[in-house]
Amino acid sequence: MSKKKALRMLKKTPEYLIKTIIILIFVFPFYWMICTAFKTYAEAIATPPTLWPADIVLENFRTAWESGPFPTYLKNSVIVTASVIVVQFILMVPAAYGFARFEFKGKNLLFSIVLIAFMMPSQIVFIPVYLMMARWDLLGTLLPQILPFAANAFGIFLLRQYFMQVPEEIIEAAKLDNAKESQIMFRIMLPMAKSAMMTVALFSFVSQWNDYFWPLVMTNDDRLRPLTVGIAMLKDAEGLVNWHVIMAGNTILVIPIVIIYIFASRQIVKAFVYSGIK
Amino acid sequence: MKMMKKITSLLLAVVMVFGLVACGGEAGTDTGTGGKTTVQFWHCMGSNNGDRIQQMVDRFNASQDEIEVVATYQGSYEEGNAKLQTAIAGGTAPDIAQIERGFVEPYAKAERLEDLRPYMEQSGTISPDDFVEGLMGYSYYDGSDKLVSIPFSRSTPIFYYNKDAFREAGLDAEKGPETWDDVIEYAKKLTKVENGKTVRYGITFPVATWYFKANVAQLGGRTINEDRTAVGFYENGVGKQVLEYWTELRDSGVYMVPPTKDGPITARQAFINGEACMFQESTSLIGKLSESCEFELGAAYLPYAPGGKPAMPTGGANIAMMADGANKEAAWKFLEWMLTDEEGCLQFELESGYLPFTKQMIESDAIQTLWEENPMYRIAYDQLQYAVDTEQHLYWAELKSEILAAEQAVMNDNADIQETLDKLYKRSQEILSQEQ
Repeated sequence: MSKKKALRMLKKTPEYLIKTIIILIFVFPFYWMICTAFKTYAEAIATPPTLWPADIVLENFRTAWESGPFPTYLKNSVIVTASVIVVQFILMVPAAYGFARFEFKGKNLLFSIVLIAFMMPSQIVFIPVYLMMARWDLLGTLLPQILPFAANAFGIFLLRQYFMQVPEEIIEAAKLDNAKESQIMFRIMLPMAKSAMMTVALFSFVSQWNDYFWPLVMTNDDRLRPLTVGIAMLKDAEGLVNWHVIMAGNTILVIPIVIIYIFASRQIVKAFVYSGIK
Repeated sequence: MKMMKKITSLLLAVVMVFGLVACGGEAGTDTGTGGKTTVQFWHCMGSNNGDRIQQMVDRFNASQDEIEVVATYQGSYEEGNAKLQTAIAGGTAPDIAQIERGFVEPYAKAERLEDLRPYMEQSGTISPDDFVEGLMGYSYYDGSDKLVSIPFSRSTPIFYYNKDAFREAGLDAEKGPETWDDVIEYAKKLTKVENGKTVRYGITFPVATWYFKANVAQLGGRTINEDRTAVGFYENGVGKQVLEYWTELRDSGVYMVPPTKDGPITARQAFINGEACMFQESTSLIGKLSESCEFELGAAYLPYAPGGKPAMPTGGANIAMMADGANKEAAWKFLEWMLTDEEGCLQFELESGYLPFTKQMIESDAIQTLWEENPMYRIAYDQLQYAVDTEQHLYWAELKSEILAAEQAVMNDNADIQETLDKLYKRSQEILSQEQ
């Protein structure tokens, strides 16, 4: 018995080894960022580099935070990200439900338009969108950072796959009980798609929270800018780079993502298993 | 589930309230405060230099009560350039913008930059002749008819060296190498190998177009030929000579070739840490290197080709008044103040280490004192007599990336010099012919 167990453990060893290596590859940059954030300038640029700060310096975080109107940046990041997620859900759930459960003329065409939108990089559309926002006189507001992301093509796609997997019998049963379409959508479909929604929300959160190019282009005023733009300002155009301060800024930026991921990670894995993507 | 619902509705409420506040309250960047005229000034400097620009603007705003200048960071030179183009198309251009020198030409050609000559003539406080000639390579358009941009954060490459290491190797620490031959000879003496591993290199500098252009100009070549049809270093064999000089340095194991990613930062750090003893970089680093280097720092003109002449390009960014700006008179008032007031550009150049660019600045006590205290600044300025800029073209940005790719192919990937230059020449013809 114990021999069998030992053999099994031995067989598992390469698997664990590979997993450990992969984890290290992904975790090390984060470790390096946090570690550098606590170093002095001299230590941050020392060769050979040190793996642990000799003196823990908290000053870097203050320097980063006080280098610009960071409370405003943080507020903007929170408003924009939260608004985008909420607006996306309002539009995404009925759209995905429609694509999944109804047959109508032009459905395939509409769905391929959604897929094309999914593949369109923002660099292609930023000029026309900027011109639109300028014409509508919205550049003095946060809307240019929110409106263009109102429809989430990836989310519609993922949720549709999910809704399609809900067994027909359940819906038939609901219909027999005289349930309306909206009731089926919100009472039956949504709870079953909870993990998919969490996944979409997290992806939206990460991409909005980390977006740099779009808010930079869409804002001409520090009062409307998010954290990412503020942190980019820590970098000098020419000259020496204050890595320790920049890394402190990055740490501030990344902390919310890590916290939310820790809470949501189980749901996300589940979503990928269900949707057949994994 | 109930919990989820509660959280969702709470979130919704918060978003809506905030959204409305944000949409309604913070609008209106164009209206000035208290009846003042607002001048929008877009710049591309983060970190310390960004702070220095802000302080300069604050000094101006405090000096009078009619104009309020608002300085805003718009990303790196490239991002700022993309933003400025988008803003012009969207009708939201600023009044004044900092533009990397190589990007000035397209704006001038599209007539998006205001000619500053009439403003200068009218004010009488400064004239186009007051500017340091070596830094005006990107300022005129249409021959010398239009003055479309003026220097602001400008620099040139300069040759730095580690005096302590020079003394240790028995070299004259008071003088840098004069020619390429000297560089090779010095670098060999400075390189240290222990157990088959190079622990100290003779020289390092980023594989960048700047130093290539310098070396090309020293041999009488041009970055873009006079007819503006192709690169000006191919048919005369100059480009090949330069790359042969670089590869000779590399192959004799005395040149630490920085990687393509973050090369400038790597090279800089190697020099500061004493891992490389000679270093070509921007004059804008004089102050920071003087602070950071624990050895005695020396600076000299860029070494030139044997049989050639001293020459180097200039770098950095200019400022321009936008033709689309809403408040040109006020914008000129601010520009005039920057150019003539001691608390304007002069103080910015002093703090940032960029080159002073008007005769008044050069003659000022502040600059003269600085030169006495740190003669390296004087060397940087004196070298300007050899400044040559030969790449003003609408498609320079595109050509630049091709030249850089060719340099990297040769230096980092060991590509054949002749073949690489053949390809580059053909590509340059294609790129430059796009201009009508």
